[in-house]
Amino acid sequence: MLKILRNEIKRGFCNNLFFISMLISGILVLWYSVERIPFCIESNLSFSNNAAFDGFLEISYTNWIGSHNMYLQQNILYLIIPFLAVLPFGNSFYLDINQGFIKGICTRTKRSYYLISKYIAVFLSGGCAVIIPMILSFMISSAFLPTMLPEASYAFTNIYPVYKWADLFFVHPFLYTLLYIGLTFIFSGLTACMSLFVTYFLNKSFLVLIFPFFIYIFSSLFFELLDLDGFSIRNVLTTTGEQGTTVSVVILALFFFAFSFFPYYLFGVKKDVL
Amino acid sequence: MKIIINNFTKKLSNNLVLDNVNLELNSGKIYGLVGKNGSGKTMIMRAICGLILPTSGYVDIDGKVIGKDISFPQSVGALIENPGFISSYSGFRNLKVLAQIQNKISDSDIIETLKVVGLDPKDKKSFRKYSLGMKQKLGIAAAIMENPELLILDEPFNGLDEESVDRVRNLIIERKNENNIVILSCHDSEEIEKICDEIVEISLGKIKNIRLTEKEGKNEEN
Repeated sequence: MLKILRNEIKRGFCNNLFFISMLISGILVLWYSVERIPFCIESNLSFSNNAAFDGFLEISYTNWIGSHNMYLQQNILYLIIPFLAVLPFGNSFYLDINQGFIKGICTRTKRSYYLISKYIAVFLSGGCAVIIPMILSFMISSAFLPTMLPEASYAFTNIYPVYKWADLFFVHPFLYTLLYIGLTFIFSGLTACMSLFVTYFLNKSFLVLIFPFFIYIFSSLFFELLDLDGFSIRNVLTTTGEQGTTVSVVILALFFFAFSFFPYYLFGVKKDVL
Repeated sequence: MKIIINNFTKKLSNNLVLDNVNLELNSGKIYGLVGKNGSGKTMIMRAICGLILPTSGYVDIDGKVIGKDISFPQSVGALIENPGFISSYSGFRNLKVLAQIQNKISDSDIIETLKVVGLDPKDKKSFRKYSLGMKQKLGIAAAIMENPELLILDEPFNGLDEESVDRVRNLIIERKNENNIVILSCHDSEEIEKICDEIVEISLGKIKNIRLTEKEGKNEEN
Protein backbone atom coordinates (compact mmCIF):
# COMPACT_ATOMS: atom_id res chain seq x y z
CA MET A 1 0.00 0.00 0.00
CA LEU A 2 2.78 2.43 0.97
CA LYS A 3 4.59 1.90 -2.31
CA ILE A 4 1.61 2.74 -4.49
CA LEU A 5 0.73 5.62 -2.15
CA ARG A 6 4.23 7.07 -2.45
CA ASN A 7 4.03 6.61 -6.20
CA GLU A 8 0.69 8.39 -6.52
CA ILE A 9 1.71 11.26 -4.25
CA LYS A 10 4.85 11.74 -6.30
CA ARG A 11 2.78 11.81 -9.47
CA GLY A 12 0.36 14.26 -7.85
CA PHE A 13 3.02 16.77 -6.92
CA CYS A 14 5.70 16.34 -9.58
CA ASN A 15 3.72 17.41 -12.60
CA ASN A 16 3.39 20.56 -14.66
CA LEU A 17 -0.26 21.11 -13.79
CA PHE A 18 0.55 21.36 -10.08
CA PHE A 19 2.95 24.19 -10.86
CA ILE A 20 0.49 25.85 -13.26
CA SER A 21 -2.14 25.79 -10.50
CA MET A 22 0.28 27.33 -8.01
CA LEU A 23 1.39 29.87 -10.61
CA ILE A 24 -2.21 31.07 -11.11
CA SER A 25 -2.86 31.45 -7.38
CA GLY A 26 0.67 32.84 -6.92
CA ILE A 27 -0.09 35.60 -9.45
CA LEU A 28 -3.31 36.41 -7.57
CA VAL A 29 -1.38 36.58 -4.29
CA LEU A 30 1.26 38.86 -5.76
CA TRP A 31 -1.39 41.07 -7.37
CA TYR A 32 -3.21 41.31 -4.06
CA SER A 33 0.00 41.97 -2.12
CA VAL A 34 1.20 44.68 -4.52
CA GLU A 35 -2.12 46.52 -4.19
CA ARG A 36 -2.85 45.93 -0.51
CA ILE A 37 0.46 45.95 1.36
CA PRO A 38 1.66 49.47 0.30
CA PHE A 39 -1.76 50.82 1.32
CA CYS A 40 -1.44 49.15 4.75
CA ILE A 41 2.11 50.42 5.23
CA GLU A 42 0.97 53.96 4.41
CA SER A 43 -2.01 53.64 6.74
CA ASN A 44 0.22 52.43 9.57
CA LEU A 45 2.60 55.35 9.00
CA SER A 46 -0.31 57.81 9.19
CA PHE A 47 -1.39 56.09 12.39
CA SER A 48 1.97 56.39 14.04
CA ASN A 49 2.44 60.01 12.88
CA ASN A 50 -1.02 61.21 13.86
CA ALA A 51 -2.42 60.67 17.36
CA ALA A 52 -5.90 61.69 16.21
CA PHE A 53 -5.95 59.08 13.44
CA ASP A 54 -9.32 57.37 13.28
CA GLY A 55 -8.53 53.76 12.50
CA PHE A 56 -6.52 50.79 13.62
CA LEU A 57 -3.13 49.36 12.93
CA GLU A 58 -2.99 47.11 9.89
CA ILE A 59 -1.39 43.81 10.90
CA SER A 60 -0.39 40.68 9.01
CA TYR A 61 -3.22 38.57 10.49
CA THR A 62 -5.82 40.84 8.91
CA ASN A 63 -4.14 41.43 5.59
CA TRP A 64 -3.20 38.09 4.05
CA ILE A 65 -5.28 36.94 1.11
CA GLY A 66 -7.52 34.68 3.20
CA SER A 67 -8.27 37.27 5.86
CA HIS A 68 -11.09 39.06 4.01
CA ASN A 69 -13.42 38.58 1.12
CA MET A 70 -13.62 42.29 0.36
CA TYR A 71 -11.11 42.59 -2.46
CA LEU A 72 -11.28 41.49 -6.08
CA GLN A 73 -8.26 39.18 -5.88
CA GLN A 74 -9.68 37.43 -2.81
CA ASN A 75 -13.04 36.95 -4.47
CA ILE A 76 -11.39 35.54 -7.58
CA LEU A 77 -9.29 33.19 -5.45
CA TYR A 78 -12.27 31.85 -3.51
CA LEU A 79 -14.24 31.47 -6.73
CA ILE A 80 -11.57 29.44 -8.52
CA ILE A 81 -10.51 27.27 -5.58
CA PRO A 82 -12.13 24.17 -7.18
CA PHE A 83 -10.17 24.74 -10.41
CA LEU A 84 -6.91 25.27 -8.57
CA ALA A 85 -7.50 22.16 -6.48
CA VAL A 86 -8.57 19.81 -9.24
CA LEU A 87 -6.05 20.95 -11.83
CA PRO A 88 -2.89 19.22 -10.49
CA PHE A 89 -4.14 15.63 -10.30
CA GLY A 90 -7.94 15.62 -10.43
CA ASN A 91 -8.22 14.03 -13.86
CA SER A 92 -5.42 11.51 -13.34
CA PHE A 93 -7.90 8.75 -12.51
CA TYR A 94 -9.75 9.48 -15.73
CA LEU A 95 -6.47 9.38 -17.67
CA ASP A 96 -5.27 6.20 -15.96
CA ILE A 97 -8.48 4.48 -17.05
CA ASN A 98 -8.68 5.92 -20.53
CA GLN A 99 -5.01 5.60 -21.40
CA GLY A 100 -5.01 2.03 -20.04
CA PHE A 101 -2.36 2.66 -17.40
CA ILE A 102 -4.71 1.25 -14.77
CA LYS A 103 -4.21 -2.24 -16.28
CA GLY A 104 -0.51 -2.07 -15.42
CA ILE A 105 -1.33 -0.93 -11.90
CA CYS A 106 -4.12 -3.42 -11.17
CA THR A 107 -1.90 -6.35 -12.18
CA ARG A 108 0.70 -5.20 -9.64
CA THR A 109 -1.29 -4.15 -6.61
CA LYS A 110 -4.72 -4.54 -5.06
CA ARG A 111 -7.35 -2.33 -6.63
CA SER A 112 -8.45 -1.09 -3.21
CA TYR A 113 -4.88 0.05 -2.46
CA TYR A 114 -4.76 1.93 -5.74
CA LEU A 115 -8.13 3.61 -5.19
CA ILE A 116 -7.25 4.73 -1.67
CA SER A 117 -3.82 5.94 -2.76
CA LYS A 118 -5.32 7.88 -5.65
CA TYR A 119 -7.84 9.52 -3.32
CA ILE A 120 -5.14 10.55 -0.85
CA ALA A 121 -2.87 11.87 -3.62
CA VAL A 122 -5.67 13.91 -5.25
CA PHE A 123 -6.66 15.24 -1.81
CA LEU A 124 -3.11 16.25 -0.85
CA SER A 125 -2.14 17.78 -4.18
CA GLY A 126 -5.45 19.69 -4.39
CA GLY A 127 -5.13 20.98 -0.85
CA CYS A 128 -1.50 21.98 -1.19
CA ALA A 129 -1.98 23.69 -4.57
CA VAL A 130 -4.41 26.07 -2.88
CA ILE A 131 -2.79 26.63 0.50
CA ILE A 132 0.85 27.04 -0.52
CA PRO A 133 0.12 30.43 -2.20
CA MET A 134 -2.01 31.36 0.83
CA ILE A 135 0.91 30.64 3.14
CA LEU A 136 3.05 32.72 0.79
CA SER A 137 0.54 35.56 1.13
CA PHE A 138 0.71 35.35 4.92
CA MET A 139 4.51 35.37 4.77
CA ILE A 140 4.50 38.46 2.53
CA SER A 141 2.08 40.24 4.89
CA SER A 142 4.20 39.25 7.88
CA ALA A 143 7.33 40.55 6.18
CA PHE A 144 5.89 44.05 5.70
CA LEU A 145 3.28 44.47 8.42
CA PRO A 146 3.38 44.02 12.19
CA THR A 147 2.56 40.54 13.44
CA MET A 148 0.86 41.32 16.71
CA LEU A 149 -2.42 40.80 18.54
CA PRO A 150 -5.35 42.45 16.72
CA GLU A 151 -6.85 45.54 18.33
CA ALA A 152 -10.18 45.10 20.07
CA SER A 153 -11.68 47.73 17.75
CA TYR A 154 -11.30 45.25 14.91
CA ALA A 155 -14.26 43.44 16.45
CA PHE A 156 -16.50 46.29 15.28
CA THR A 157 -15.35 46.22 11.69
CA ASN A 158 -14.33 42.83 10.34
CA ILE A 159 -14.27 39.93 12.77
CA TYR A 160 -17.43 40.31 14.81
CA PRO A 161 -17.54 38.40 18.09
CA VAL A 162 -20.36 36.17 16.77
CA TYR A 163 -18.21 34.92 13.93
CA LYS A 164 -16.77 31.44 13.93
CA TRP A 165 -13.68 31.16 16.15
CA ALA A 166 -13.65 34.98 16.73
CA ASP A 167 -12.53 34.48 20.34
CA LEU A 168 -9.47 32.67 19.11
CA PHE A 169 -8.68 35.44 16.64
CA PHE A 170 -8.27 38.07 19.36
CA VAL A 171 -6.23 35.83 21.67
CA HIS A 172 -4.28 33.49 19.38
CA PRO A 173 -4.43 35.04 15.91
CA PHE A 174 -1.70 32.78 14.58
CA LEU A 175 -3.66 29.68 15.57
CA TYR A 176 -6.78 31.25 14.04
CA THR A 177 -4.91 31.85 10.78
CA LEU A 178 -3.58 28.29 10.82
CA LEU A 179 -7.10 26.97 11.40
CA TYR A 180 -8.42 28.81 8.36
CA ILE A 181 -5.52 27.66 6.21
CA GLY A 182 -6.16 24.10 7.47
CA LEU A 183 -9.84 24.45 6.69
CA THR A 184 -9.06 25.65 3.19
CA PHE A 185 -6.66 22.71 2.77
CA ILE A 186 -9.30 20.18 3.79
CA PHE A 187 -12.09 21.60 1.65
CA SER A 188 -9.82 22.17 -1.35
CA GLY A 189 -8.65 18.55 -1.11
CA LEU A 190 -12.18 17.23 -0.75
CA THR A 191 -13.39 19.40 -3.63
CA ALA A 192 -10.60 18.02 -5.85
CA CYS A 193 -11.67 14.48 -4.91
CA MET A 194 -15.17 15.20 -6.24
CA SER A 195 -13.66 14.60 -9.67
CA LEU A 196 -12.96 10.93 -8.92
CA PHE A 197 -16.44 9.45 -8.80
CA VAL A 198 -17.69 11.26 -11.90
CA THR A 199 -14.82 9.72 -13.85
CA TYR A 200 -16.94 6.57 -14.12
CA PHE A 201 -19.68 8.44 -15.96
CA LEU A 202 -18.05 11.25 -17.93
CA ASN A 203 -16.28 10.70 -21.20
CA LYS A 204 -14.34 13.97 -21.47
CA SER A 205 -11.37 14.94 -19.35
CA PHE A 206 -12.40 18.61 -19.12
CA LEU A 207 -15.84 17.63 -17.77
CA VAL A 208 -14.08 15.76 -14.98
CA LEU A 209 -12.07 18.90 -14.26
CA ILE A 210 -15.04 21.26 -14.09
CA PHE A 211 -17.40 19.01 -12.14
CA PRO A 212 -15.99 20.01 -8.69
CA PHE A 213 -16.52 23.65 -9.65
CA PHE A 214 -20.24 22.99 -10.18
CA ILE A 215 -20.53 21.15 -6.88
CA TYR A 216 -18.71 24.01 -5.14
CA ILE A 217 -20.87 26.72 -6.67
CA PHE A 218 -24.21 24.93 -6.68
CA SER A 219 -23.90 23.54 -3.16
CA SER A 220 -23.02 27.07 -1.96
CA LEU A 221 -25.96 28.63 -3.80
CA PHE A 222 -28.29 25.85 -2.66
CA PHE A 223 -27.53 26.35 1.03
CA GLU A 224 -27.56 30.13 0.71
CA LEU A 225 -31.00 29.99 -0.92
CA LEU A 226 -32.23 27.81 1.92
CA ASP A 227 -30.90 30.39 4.36
CA LEU A 228 -28.38 27.85 5.64
CA ASP A 229 -25.39 30.10 4.99
CA GLY A 230 -23.28 28.24 7.50
CA PHE A 231 -23.29 25.23 5.16
CA SER A 232 -22.21 27.18 2.11
CA ILE A 233 -18.61 26.17 1.39
CA ARG A 234 -17.86 29.64 0.00
CA ASN A 235 -18.82 31.17 3.33
CA VAL A 236 -17.20 28.52 5.47
CA LEU A 237 -13.78 29.18 3.96
CA THR A 238 -13.78 32.96 4.38
CA THR A 239 -13.06 34.63 7.69
CA THR A 240 -15.83 37.19 7.30
CA GLY A 241 -19.52 36.97 6.51
CA GLU A 242 -22.05 34.30 7.42
CA GLN A 243 -19.48 31.63 7.97
CA GLY A 244 -21.18 28.96 10.04
CA THR A 245 -20.12 27.23 13.21
CA THR A 246 -17.68 24.49 14.10
CA VAL A 247 -20.58 22.03 13.90
CA SER A 248 -21.63 23.15 10.42
CA VAL A 249 -18.00 22.95 9.26
CA VAL A 250 -17.66 19.38 10.55
CA ILE A 251 -20.99 18.32 9.03
CA LEU A 252 -20.09 19.87 5.68
CA ALA A 253 -16.63 18.26 5.69
CA LEU A 254 -18.12 14.84 6.50
CA PHE A 255 -20.70 15.28 3.76
CA PHE A 256 -18.02 16.22 1.22
CA PHE A 257 -15.89 13.27 2.31
CA ALA A 258 -18.74 10.79 2.15
CA PHE A 259 -19.89 12.09 -1.23
CA SER A 260 -16.40 12.09 -2.75
CA PHE A 261 -15.06 8.85 -1.28
CA PHE A 262 -17.67 6.12 -0.80
CA PRO A 263 -19.33 6.08 -4.24
CA TYR A 264 -15.88 6.32 -5.87
CA TYR A 265 -14.38 3.53 -3.77
CA LEU A 266 -17.30 1.12 -3.58
CA PHE A 267 -17.96 1.37 -7.30
CA GLY A 268 -14.26 1.21 -8.14
CA VAL A 269 -13.45 -2.04 -6.34
CA LYS A 270 -16.25 -3.84 -8.19
CA LYS A 271 -15.92 -2.19 -11.58
CA ASP A 272 -14.35 -4.14 -14.41
CA VAL A 273 -11.16 -2.75 -15.92
CA LEU A 274 -11.79 -2.93 -19.64
CA MET B 1 2.02 -22.57 -11.64
CA LYS B 2 -1.36 -23.95 -12.53
CA ILE B 3 -4.34 -21.93 -13.69
CA ILE B 4 -7.83 -23.39 -13.68
CA ILE B 5 -10.67 -21.49 -15.26
CA ASN B 6 -13.86 -23.11 -14.09
CA ASN B 7 -17.29 -22.43 -15.65
CA PHE B 8 -16.35 -18.78 -16.07
CA THR B 9 -19.24 -16.72 -17.37
CA LYS B 10 -19.21 -12.98 -17.82
CA LYS B 11 -22.08 -10.74 -18.78
CA LEU B 12 -21.52 -7.09 -19.67
CA SER B 13 -24.73 -5.05 -19.89
CA ASN B 14 -26.71 -8.18 -20.76
CA ASN B 15 -24.20 -9.30 -23.40
CA LEU B 16 -22.70 -12.67 -22.75
CA VAL B 17 -19.00 -12.07 -23.45
CA LEU B 18 -17.73 -15.30 -21.89
CA ASP B 19 -19.94 -18.33 -21.74
CA ASN B 20 -19.04 -21.14 -19.36
CA VAL B 21 -15.33 -21.16 -20.13
CA ASN B 22 -13.30 -24.08 -18.78
CA LEU B 23 -9.56 -24.19 -19.25
CA GLU B 24 -6.48 -25.53 -17.51
CA LEU B 25 -3.07 -23.95 -18.08
CA ASN B 26 0.25 -25.30 -16.83
CA SER B 27 3.80 -24.03 -16.46
CA GLY B 28 6.33 -24.41 -19.22
CA LYS B 29 3.84 -24.01 -22.03
CA ILE B 30 2.80 -21.38 -24.52
CA TYR B 31 -0.92 -21.17 -25.11
CA GLY B 32 -2.33 -19.45 -28.15
CA LEU B 33 -5.84 -18.03 -28.09
CA VAL B 34 -7.38 -17.80 -31.53
CA GLY B 35 -10.71 -16.56 -32.74
CA LYS B 36 -12.44 -13.79 -34.62
CA ASN B 37 -12.61 -10.20 -33.37
CA GLY B 38 -14.93 -10.00 -30.40
CA SER B 39 -14.82 -13.75 -29.80
CA GLY B 40 -13.66 -13.30 -26.20
CA LYS B 41 -9.87 -13.83 -26.36
CA THR B 42 -9.05 -10.57 -24.61
CA MET B 43 -11.81 -11.13 -22.06
CA ILE B 44 -10.25 -14.45 -21.05
CA MET B 45 -6.94 -12.65 -20.62
CA ARG B 46 -8.60 -9.97 -18.49
CA ALA B 47 -10.30 -12.64 -16.40
CA ILE B 48 -6.98 -14.37 -15.70
CA CYS B 49 -5.44 -11.01 -14.69
CA GLY B 50 -8.31 -10.23 -12.33
CA LEU B 51 -9.30 -7.17 -14.33
CA ILE B 52 -12.83 -8.48 -14.71
CA LEU B 53 -14.75 -10.46 -12.12
CA PRO B 54 -17.05 -13.32 -13.12
CA THR B 55 -20.81 -13.24 -13.25
CA SER B 56 -20.43 -16.91 -12.32
CA GLY B 57 -17.53 -19.35 -12.11
CA TYR B 58 -13.98 -18.59 -11.07
CA VAL B 59 -10.30 -18.42 -11.97
CA ASP B 60 -8.08 -20.43 -9.64
CA ILE B 61 -4.34 -19.79 -9.58
CA ASP B 62 -2.36 -22.32 -7.56
CA GLY B 63 -5.36 -22.93 -5.33
CA LYS B 64 -6.23 -19.26 -4.85
CA VAL B 65 -9.39 -17.87 -6.37
CA ILE B 66 -9.19 -14.45 -8.03
CA GLY B 67 -11.58 -11.95 -6.51
CA LYS B 68 -11.85 -14.05 -3.34
CA ASP B 69 -8.40 -15.06 -2.09
CA ILE B 70 -6.35 -12.77 -4.32
CA SER B 71 -7.08 -9.68 -6.45
CA PHE B 72 -4.66 -10.57 -9.23
CA PRO B 73 -2.11 -13.33 -9.97
CA GLN B 74 0.91 -12.79 -7.74
CA SER B 75 3.40 -12.86 -10.60
CA VAL B 76 1.91 -11.66 -13.84
CA GLY B 77 3.01 -9.46 -16.70
CA ALA B 78 0.37 -8.46 -19.19
CA LEU B 79 -0.03 -6.53 -22.38
CA ILE B 80 -3.74 -6.40 -23.03
CA GLU B 81 -5.12 -4.58 -26.06
CA ASN B 82 -3.27 -1.28 -26.49
CA PRO B 83 -0.21 -0.52 -24.42
CA GLY B 84 -1.40 1.94 -21.76
CA PHE B 85 1.03 4.45 -20.31
CA ILE B 86 1.18 7.98 -19.00
CA SER B 87 1.44 10.01 -22.18
CA SER B 88 3.65 12.77 -20.79
CA TYR B 89 6.28 10.41 -19.34
CA SER B 90 9.21 8.85 -21.19
CA GLY B 91 9.38 5.10 -21.67
CA PHE B 92 11.85 4.64 -18.84
CA ARG B 93 9.85 6.81 -16.44
CA ASN B 94 6.65 4.92 -17.23
CA LEU B 95 8.31 1.59 -16.50
CA LYS B 96 9.85 3.00 -13.34
CA VAL B 97 6.45 4.13 -12.03
CA LEU B 98 5.10 0.63 -12.61
CA ALA B 99 8.19 -1.09 -11.22
CA GLN B 100 8.07 0.96 -8.01
CA ILE B 101 4.68 -0.52 -7.14
CA GLN B 102 6.21 -3.90 -6.32
CA ASN B 103 9.80 -2.75 -5.99
CA LYS B 104 11.12 -6.08 -7.27
CA ILE B 105 13.55 -4.71 -9.84
CA SER B 106 16.15 -1.97 -10.07
CA ASP B 107 16.70 0.81 -12.59
CA SER B 108 19.37 -1.27 -14.30
CA ASP B 109 16.84 -4.08 -14.81
CA ILE B 110 14.48 -1.60 -16.45
CA ILE B 111 17.28 -0.32 -18.69
CA GLU B 112 18.19 -3.88 -19.61
CA THR B 113 14.57 -4.72 -20.46
CA LEU B 114 14.25 -1.65 -22.67
CA LYS B 115 17.38 -2.71 -24.54
CA VAL B 116 16.07 -6.27 -24.91
CA VAL B 117 12.90 -5.06 -26.66
CA GLY B 118 14.89 -2.67 -28.84
CA LEU B 119 14.17 0.68 -27.18
CA ASP B 120 16.72 3.28 -26.18
CA PRO B 121 16.62 3.65 -22.35
CA LYS B 122 18.06 7.16 -22.63
CA ASP B 123 15.33 8.33 -25.01
CA LYS B 124 13.62 11.30 -23.29
CA LYS B 125 10.78 11.38 -25.81
CA SER B 126 7.36 11.28 -24.15
CA PHE B 127 5.15 8.24 -24.72
CA ARG B 128 2.68 10.27 -26.76
CA LYS B 129 5.40 10.88 -29.37
CA TYR B 130 6.21 7.18 -29.73
CA SER B 131 5.43 5.37 -32.97
CA LEU B 132 2.99 2.45 -32.90
CA GLY B 133 5.85 -0.04 -32.90
CA MET B 134 7.67 1.76 -30.07
CA LYS B 135 4.50 1.81 -27.99
CA GLN B 136 4.07 -1.90 -28.55
CA LYS B 137 7.69 -2.57 -27.54
CA LEU B 138 7.21 -0.55 -24.36
CA GLY B 139 4.06 -2.54 -23.59
CA ILE B 140 6.01 -5.78 -24.00
CA ALA B 141 8.82 -4.39 -21.84
CA ALA B 142 6.34 -3.56 -19.07
CA ALA B 143 4.96 -7.08 -19.25
CA ILE B 144 8.29 -8.88 -19.08
CA MET B 145 10.42 -6.58 -16.92
CA GLU B 146 9.63 -8.24 -13.57
CA ASN B 147 10.22 -11.78 -14.91
CA PRO B 148 6.64 -12.88 -14.25
CA GLU B 149 5.67 -16.53 -13.95
CA LEU B 150 2.62 -15.78 -16.04
CA LEU B 151 3.03 -13.72 -19.19
CA ILE B 152 -0.05 -12.59 -21.08
CA LEU B 153 0.40 -10.94 -24.45
CA ASP B 154 -2.55 -9.80 -26.52
CA GLU B 155 -1.52 -9.33 -30.15
CA PRO B 156 2.13 -8.71 -29.23
CA PHE B 157 3.33 -8.47 -32.84
CA ASN B 158 1.06 -5.56 -33.80
CA GLY B 159 3.02 -2.75 -35.40
CA LEU B 160 6.39 -4.50 -35.09
CA ASP B 161 8.93 -4.80 -37.89
CA GLU B 162 10.35 -8.17 -38.84
CA GLU B 163 13.44 -7.86 -36.69
CA SER B 164 11.35 -6.94 -33.66
CA VAL B 165 8.95 -9.81 -34.30
CA ASP B 166 11.92 -12.21 -34.20
CA ARG B 167 13.13 -10.60 -30.99
CA VAL B 168 9.75 -10.89 -29.28
CA ARG B 169 9.29 -14.44 -30.51
CA ASN B 170 12.63 -15.40 -28.93
CA LEU B 171 11.65 -13.65 -25.73
CA ILE B 172 8.43 -15.63 -25.53
CA ILE B 173 10.25 -18.92 -26.09
CA GLU B 174 12.83 -17.97 -23.45
CA ARG B 175 10.01 -17.44 -20.94
CA LYS B 176 8.59 -20.81 -21.72
CA ASN B 177 12.00 -22.45 -21.27
CA GLU B 178 12.21 -20.81 -17.84
CA ASN B 179 9.07 -22.83 -16.93
CA ASN B 180 6.67 -19.91 -17.10
CA ILE B 181 3.19 -19.88 -18.60
CA VAL B 182 2.77 -17.72 -21.68
CA ILE B 183 -0.67 -16.92 -23.05
CA LEU B 184 -0.84 -15.04 -26.30
CA SER B 185 -3.31 -14.13 -28.95
CA CYS B 186 -2.39 -13.36 -32.51
CA HIS B 187 -4.22 -13.00 -35.78
CA ASP B 188 -1.36 -14.57 -37.70
CA SER B 189 -2.20 -18.29 -37.53
CA GLU B 190 1.20 -19.23 -38.93
CA GLU B 191 2.94 -17.36 -36.12
CA ILE B 192 0.72 -18.96 -33.52
CA GLU B 193 1.41 -22.44 -34.84
CA LYS B 194 5.13 -21.69 -34.89
CA ILE B 195 5.37 -20.53 -31.26
CA CYS B 196 2.60 -22.16 -29.26
CA ASP B 197 2.29 -25.56 -27.69
CA GLU B 198 -1.47 -25.55 -27.44
CA ILE B 199 -4.13 -23.64 -29.33
CA VAL B 200 -7.41 -22.63 -27.73
CA GLU B 201 -10.07 -21.84 -30.30
CA ILE B 202 -12.69 -19.39 -29.12
CA SER B 203 -15.94 -18.33 -30.72
CA LEU B 204 -18.78 -16.22 -29.32
CA GLY B 205 -17.31 -16.35 -25.83
CA LYS B 206 -17.09 -20.13 -25.79
CA ILE B 207 -14.13 -22.45 -26.10
CA LYS B 208 -14.74 -24.47 -29.24
CA ASN B 209 -11.61 -26.58 -29.29
CA ILE B 210 -8.28 -27.09 -27.53
CA ARG B 211 -5.60 -28.76 -29.58
CA LEU B 212 -1.87 -29.33 -29.64
CA THR B 213 0.02 -27.55 -32.39
CA GLU B 214 1.64 -29.66 -35.08
CA LYS B 215 5.05 -29.04 -33.56
CA GLU B 216 3.85 -30.10 -30.10
CA GLY B 217 1.99 -33.08 -31.57
CA LYS B 218 5.22 -34.34 -33.10
CA ASN B 219 7.05 -33.84 -29.82
CA GLU B 220 4.41 -35.87 -27.99
CA GLU B 221 4.64 -38.66 -30.58
CA ASN B 222 8.43 -38.81 -30.07
